[in-house]
Amino acid sequence: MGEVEARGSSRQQIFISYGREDAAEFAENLADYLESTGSYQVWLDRKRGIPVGAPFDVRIEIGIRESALLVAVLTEWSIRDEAFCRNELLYAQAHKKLIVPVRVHDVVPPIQIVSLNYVDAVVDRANVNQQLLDAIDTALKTKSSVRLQLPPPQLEQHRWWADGPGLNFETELARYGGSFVGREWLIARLRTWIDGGSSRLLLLTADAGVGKSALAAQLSARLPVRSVYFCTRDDEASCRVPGWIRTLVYQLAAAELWYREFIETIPEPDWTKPLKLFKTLILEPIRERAPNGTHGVPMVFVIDGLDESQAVAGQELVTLLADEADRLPAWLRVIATSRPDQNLLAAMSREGIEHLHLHTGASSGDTAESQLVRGELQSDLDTYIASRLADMPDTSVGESERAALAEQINAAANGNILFAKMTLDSLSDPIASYRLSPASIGRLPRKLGGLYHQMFRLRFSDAQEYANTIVPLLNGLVASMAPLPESLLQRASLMDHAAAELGVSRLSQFLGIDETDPRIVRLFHKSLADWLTTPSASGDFAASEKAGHRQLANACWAEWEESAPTTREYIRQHLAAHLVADRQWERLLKLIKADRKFWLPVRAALRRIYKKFNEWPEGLKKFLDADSEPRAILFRGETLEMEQRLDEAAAVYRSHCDRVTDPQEGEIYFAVRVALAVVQDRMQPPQSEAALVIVDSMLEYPSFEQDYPKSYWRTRYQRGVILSRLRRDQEAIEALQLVEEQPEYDDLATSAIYQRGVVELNQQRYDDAENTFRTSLQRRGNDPFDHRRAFEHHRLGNVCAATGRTEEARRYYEESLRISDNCGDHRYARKTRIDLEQLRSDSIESSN
Amino acid sequence: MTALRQQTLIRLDPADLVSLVWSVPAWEELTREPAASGLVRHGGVAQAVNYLPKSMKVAYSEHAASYLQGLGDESGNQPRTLLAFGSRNTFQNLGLPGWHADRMPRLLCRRDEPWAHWEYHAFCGLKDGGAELRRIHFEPDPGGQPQHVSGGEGSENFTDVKWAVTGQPLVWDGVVSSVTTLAGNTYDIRHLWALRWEAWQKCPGDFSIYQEMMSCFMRNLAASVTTRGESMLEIAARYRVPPAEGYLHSSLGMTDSGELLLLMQTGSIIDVANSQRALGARRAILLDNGGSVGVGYWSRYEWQRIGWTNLRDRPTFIGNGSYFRPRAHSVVIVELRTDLPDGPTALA
Repeated sequence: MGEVEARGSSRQQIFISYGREDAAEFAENLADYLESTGSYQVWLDRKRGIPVGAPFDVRIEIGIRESALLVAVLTEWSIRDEAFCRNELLYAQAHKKLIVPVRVHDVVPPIQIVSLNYVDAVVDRANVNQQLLDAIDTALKTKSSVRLQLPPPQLEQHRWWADGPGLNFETELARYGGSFVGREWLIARLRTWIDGGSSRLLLLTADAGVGKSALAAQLSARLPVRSVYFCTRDDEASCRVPGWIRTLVYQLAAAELWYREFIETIPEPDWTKPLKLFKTLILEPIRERAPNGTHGVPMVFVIDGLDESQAVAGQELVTLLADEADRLPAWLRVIATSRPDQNLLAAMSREGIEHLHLHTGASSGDTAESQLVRGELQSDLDTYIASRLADMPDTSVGESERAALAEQINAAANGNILFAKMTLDSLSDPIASYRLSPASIGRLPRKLGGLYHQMFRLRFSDAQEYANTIVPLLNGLVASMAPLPESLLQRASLMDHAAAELGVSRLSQFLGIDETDPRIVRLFHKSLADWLTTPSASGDFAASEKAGHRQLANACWAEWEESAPTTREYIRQHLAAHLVADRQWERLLKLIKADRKFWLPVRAALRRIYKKFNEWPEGLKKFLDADSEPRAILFRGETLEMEQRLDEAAAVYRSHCDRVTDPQEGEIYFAVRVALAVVQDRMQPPQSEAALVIVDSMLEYPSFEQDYPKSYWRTRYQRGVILSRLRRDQEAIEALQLVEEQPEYDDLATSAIYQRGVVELNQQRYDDAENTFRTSLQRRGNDPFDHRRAFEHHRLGNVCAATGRTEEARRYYEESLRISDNCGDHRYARKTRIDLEQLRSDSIESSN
Repeated sequence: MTALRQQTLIRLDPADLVSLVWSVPAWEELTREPAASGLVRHGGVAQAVNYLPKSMKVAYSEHAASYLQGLGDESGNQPRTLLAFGSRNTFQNLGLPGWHADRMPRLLCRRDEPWAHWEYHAFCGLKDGGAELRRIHFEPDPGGQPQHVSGGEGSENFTDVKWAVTGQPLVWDGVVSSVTTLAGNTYDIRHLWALRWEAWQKCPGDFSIYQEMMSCFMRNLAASVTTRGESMLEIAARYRVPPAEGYLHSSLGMTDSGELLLLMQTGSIIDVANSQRALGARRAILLDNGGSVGVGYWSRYEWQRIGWTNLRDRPTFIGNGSYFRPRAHSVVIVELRTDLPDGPTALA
């Protein structure tokens, strides 16, 4: 049976998903039109005799599977939470079908297809059929659904929300959303909670294999879900707060015009301080800007795998959710899924958070509720097993055995869908020697780990062979920081290509293959990684994460050495982490020196284990201290600066400057010197004279401006700042005005204007200073996350305070505080607060 | 950056407690005007109006002395270990009444206290000498006056309660309270939100937000705590009022095994609640804030060495902030069997 061509026909089949209540006529017209072209055969439920209101029918599943493309007719009826059309969409995605939406009513596309472009019949009804035909032709020709095309933003740089990796979770939706079996009871229960529950956050916990992620995906088709987010240990960024907020921003902006208009007025925020961003980027705009109608329907955000977030990135996301839970407005609900980790449950034991555990096993402490839940899960499992057995080829299990088998699998799985799936997969394994015999089902162990053991024993009976040909691959898989290119895994295993390929093939049942790239592999489920890395559970089949890090560090290193400029993404992102895990300090240092792009991953990898520079391993620090190469010095200095250890940073830079005195060294010669000047000027007390000597000597270099213009103008600006601190006001103004006149360095020029204002303020030229600060503030724009706007507001406050305009001064100070607070710039906020307090005490004194 | 952030824990094993006494020397005067108006923070006042005469707030040493008097050992001949911690919001603020079975009137509260509508969370001294944290109601007699402490509608009277000091619930049955619950129970809203509302602070913006929030609080005084709390949160969110995160708070928690956790910590109230739970508290309430936080301590060792007369006015204060005011109208006195462990022989 071909996927693209319908059975018995050379024409490609198109499935039309629509709401019978309000789009039947549209769908029939469209079907007639498409069929009239002679290129397509249309699958329409009415024509297949499926009655109105029939439950999700197996004929519909087959119809979608046999179609090349699904047209989603978006109407008020079809996008309702309970509409089957949304299930059809999810099912199509799970089976990697192309989708072309057509908006017939003025509705927002459901979350599942939020990033797809649609044909808009609301705007142009007359030509909709032709436009759809074109869109279908294009999609089939390019074999991809057309991504959302957006009109250009008002400011080009403000389309940041649509960029960046990991914003699109359609792959996850497809991976987990394939099954529609059961869970109706749970959906109904969640709907009741959304409509009337007093808590805002529902924590849904279940043991491995019960199907939490599948459920999270399924919810996107059944509830008013505006965002679905999957935390996965394969992708560290997905486990952190910025990852979640970025996705929320993307999914809201792609779906809601009012939100997009808001987000495009601000440039990309500072993601290093993410906790406040949930409030400023999500809660406040929704509260203040969402059209009234939005509040009538609750918004639901779904987060899957909180336990994975906690394991990879610590408590940050969990704490954010726990802290914000009861600050959420009543029309915003969060559903989070997790394994029942005790630390996580403790953090989530907060009034305002509801907890629902999906009990699978009976226990003495069973409540009526847990018995009810278990009964429902069991019933879901019955349905799943029956449908899988029904689909199974007759050769593997005979018709007569099925009922008994279903009962046995159900008893063994004890509510665990993953267990049942693995068992059923094994029963129908194409390789006879790996196939589980129906007779052995009754003897299966009752835990997932036991099942893994059984399946590994069946597949890998020769211990020596397993150790030589499978363990090296598993080591790499359990240590991988993200889905891994298969070729890299093979290289890391140190086996020859054919043996490694065979090993991967023998492991295939346990691998999750990336939908978009089959050459990318990972273990199919976290529970398998847990089992493999717990030797007390996996015994002879255990794999070693530590050995895996070493293998991957070596393989990534070798490949990077061979092809540094074109090295692949996995290596760019994770080589540092593997080197750190294997304590390969010499190589780590080489990496630091090779390319500044590695500094961020290196610091991130070190911070995952060691909080501060002081705590970095002695071995690494020894190498760093001993290294006199400029990049190593800048890396060390910057790291110290980031920890506010300015004296030590200056010492690091100074030692380099003392040693390297020839500008022929290139840009790095200037970079270290200007870094030293900045640090010296920032120190307490400032060493501005010394800083000035440094920048002046740099500026004497004859072809500095010509060879390194950016560094040159940065040095010129810095000179102005230092002169102003030294109160050599006229020279400072002249130096800064030179920078102001450089239009190609707009940002630097604006900072120079601001700095000139500071000089004027120091000279008590209040009118001039006020004008200057206003000019620089105007040039900054309205970005609420630009912390430099706090400087200007603060200084305008100073001007007003000095000229007796107390109330105006207070407003400026408070605005400055607000901006600093937004940006998390507490050091600057402290400065402003001191001036504000001074203003208050002056006012009290004068009133006394 | 100059900062003072504190976290002080006094963990008391129930086996080490000799007695627990709640000391309010000016009980009767407090229940009469003008003191009965308490500390008024609503109704458009430009700053909190204090109706309590200064004389009602006495030094911690006075409370300790009256404890000894009650024991018939006025001269302090028997060296003891004493701790005194304040419940200084009791009575002064709305939502924080106190109860004593042996005093008249039994309920110590402001005249505008909505006791008939509210449920309280209280540190209860029991007649058998023990102590518990309980959720309580005050039940009226036929004349409508508060007469009994009960566990709530339909439940029996708590006849074993000798006295009860109420506080906002921080942790209840292992669950940290929501901001909604705290907002619904907190009359002095500065402890939850950073609002500089008093006239001398010269923030008219904060003042107008504060007035709106207090009007809302008072308007919903007889409503459910959730309704009141949610209304307050709605206003705070609308004006983006930041949470108060720099106060020093004192709190009292109890573990499952009956240990008392007296925790003084800088941070938000939720931070304190999280700490209490992390320390093992099954239930915990908030006691004092800011300059009221601090525990007076008289050690048996010093008492033996220099005598009560010399020690009396020189308690060591533990866990207090930089502007601690060592006078209070309401203090709980704890007598311990031994001194607080310290020095090289103390167990961690």
